[in-house]
Parts: sequence; structure tokens; C-alpha cells
Amino acid sequence: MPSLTHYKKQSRLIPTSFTISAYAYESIGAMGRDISGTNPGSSAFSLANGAVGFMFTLEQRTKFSGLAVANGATVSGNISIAIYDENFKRIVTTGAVAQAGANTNQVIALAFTLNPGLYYCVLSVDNTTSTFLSKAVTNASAQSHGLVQMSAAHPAPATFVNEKYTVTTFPTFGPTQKTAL
Amino acid sequence: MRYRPEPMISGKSIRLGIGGALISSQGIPTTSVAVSSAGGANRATFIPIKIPCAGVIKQVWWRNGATIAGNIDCGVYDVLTDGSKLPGARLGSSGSTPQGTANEIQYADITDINIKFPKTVYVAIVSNSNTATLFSSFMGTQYAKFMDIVGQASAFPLPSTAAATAAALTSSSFFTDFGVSFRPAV
Repeated sequence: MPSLTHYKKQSRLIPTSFTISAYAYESIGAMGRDISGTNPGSSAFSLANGAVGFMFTLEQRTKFSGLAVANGATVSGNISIAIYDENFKRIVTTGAVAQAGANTNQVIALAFTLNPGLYYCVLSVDNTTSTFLSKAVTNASAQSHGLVQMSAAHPAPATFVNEKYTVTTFPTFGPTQKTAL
Repeated sequence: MRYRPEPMISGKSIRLGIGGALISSQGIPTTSVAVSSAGGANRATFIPIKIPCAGVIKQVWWRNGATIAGNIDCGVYDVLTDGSKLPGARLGSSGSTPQGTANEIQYADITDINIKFPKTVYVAIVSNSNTATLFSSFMGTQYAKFMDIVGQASAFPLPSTAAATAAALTSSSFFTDFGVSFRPAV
């Protein structure tokens, strides 16, 4: 019988990215170009007490150390980042946390492990002054790549109720295996 | 069937590097950029790449720009196991190597690196000349940090143990056209 080592050598599972944003291999990836072909810039979040999210898949069990967001030039109020399963049931959440650090990547420490599968990562914000490193999006492109939205969702609720995507920007955020970005 | 790794993996690979993020922001993004505009001389750039199966890294390579100057060091680093996911021990490197021919891929033999299982490693590159050019990308410093790219100042030649951090990535342009090869160059 072949050994475990044999099977490990034969496997072709691509290791999980250290940090998964919507533009990582595990999510939309290069097709983010279809959403908006420009560099992300600092943009206000236009959905007070609302949330936006992206789906991602994991090929292997992965241990994460936090949930991260790329803050823009103005920080304000509270944010909440959460991971949902494919049925939009919340698995982990940061709860409401003060947005901190203009023009920096804020990593909110939260240890959790996810098995292979499909997940959603959601960012909710309690105000429209907060800015994030975001890409401009068109609604149709956002919908075609599975971006999700919920208008009354702060802090991130236990169940996410997906609505038609109407926000014109999409922030940079996601789970990370790192402690600083 | 015995799977084999892609013969060459670069920092801008879509599946195995940060190519998805690059393309989503800049399309086909690479151009010849002076070292002075990509962090400056002696500042190393580290990009994580995913090795999907067992294999032996035989060479490192980089894509020279239009102006050749000084020396290059290109290497491969393991990932620290302390939870930081930052680069740690150097697995191999070209050592200080005169930059070769303009606008061509330059290969350097390294001592074989035997990758036993799928894993992530960092590829690193550094030049000791501000006037040298390499093919590079632009996508904004903060966004690059979110894509797990890190930097290290005063890193020529590449150190045996990295001390790279996200904070030490200081430029919006950074080298992306370099990587590893699992077969000898032809």
C-alpha cells in the first residue's frame, strides 16, 4: 500500500494564499479586471449600517489568524468583518470594532480554522464617512462575480440576507494568516 | 500519474503568485523600471509563490530591463513557522551576479532546493544599483502589502535569514518578473 508520504508527494493542492481578498486566486482573482480595471483608491463606504461581501473557496483546511481591511484616508466609526458559510450562516465575526489607522491595513486578530469549501467574507460599516481602499464597480459586473450586499447588517448578523448589489465601490478586505499587513 | 510542477513559476503567476491581483488592477502590468523607482538599491522585494507539488528548484531567474548596471541577487526563502507567515531562512540564492543582457530573461543556477510537499515559499530579488532596470509592476504600496508582498532594506546580498516586513515595502512600483525554474534554462 502506498505510504502517506507517497500521497502527499502526488497531491496537487495549491496552498492557500496567506491573505484572501476578492482578487486572490481563491476568489474572483484576475477577473477583478472585469469589475474595474483600475488600481484601488480611497473611497467612502456608501451604505451606512450595511455590508458587502465576496465569496471564496478553500481547497484545504486552513488556519487563519485574523480578518483584515485596507483602510482609506479617513477612518471613522465601527466596522465588522465576518465569515459566512455557503448558506450565509455566520461562522466567525470580529463584532463591532473601531476603524483604526488611516491608509493602513488593519488586521483584527481572530484565530479560526476553515475546512475546504465555499465561504463568504463580509465587511459591514456603521457610517458613510469611513473610507477604504476600494475599486469602483458596476452593479452588473459585481453581481456576475458573486459580490453580495445587505443593507441593514451592522454588526455582521448571524444570517446574511443577500440583496441585489447596488454599491458603486468594493473595499479590499478578507481573512489572513498573517498578524500584520 | 506523477504530477510535476510548472517548469517556471514567477511572482506574477495568476494561480501560484499574485498575478490575479496584478491583472485586476493593472491589466498586463509589467514595464522596465529603474531600481531607484522600485524601493532603491539594496532593498529586497519578497513575493510569496505556491509550489503545488513536490519538485526540485534548479534555478532562479529575473527579467532585465532596458538599462543594465550593477549586480543582482535572487533567492528563495522558507516561511517562518512562528505564525507571522513572513520569510525566514534562505533556501538558496544566486549570490551577487552581474546583471547580464538588457531586455532578456537571466537565469542563475542555484544549489538544488528539494520541495517535498506542496508549500508556499518566498522568492526575493535585490539589486545594488539604482540605475539598473528590471521588469516591474505598479499597484500601490498598501494594496501590494495586502497581497502579502514584503520588503527589506540593506539586503544586498540576500541575507541567510530574512528580516522582511510589510512596513519595509516602500514603493508603489516593485519587481514582479522573477521567480524559480524547475528545469535548466534552454
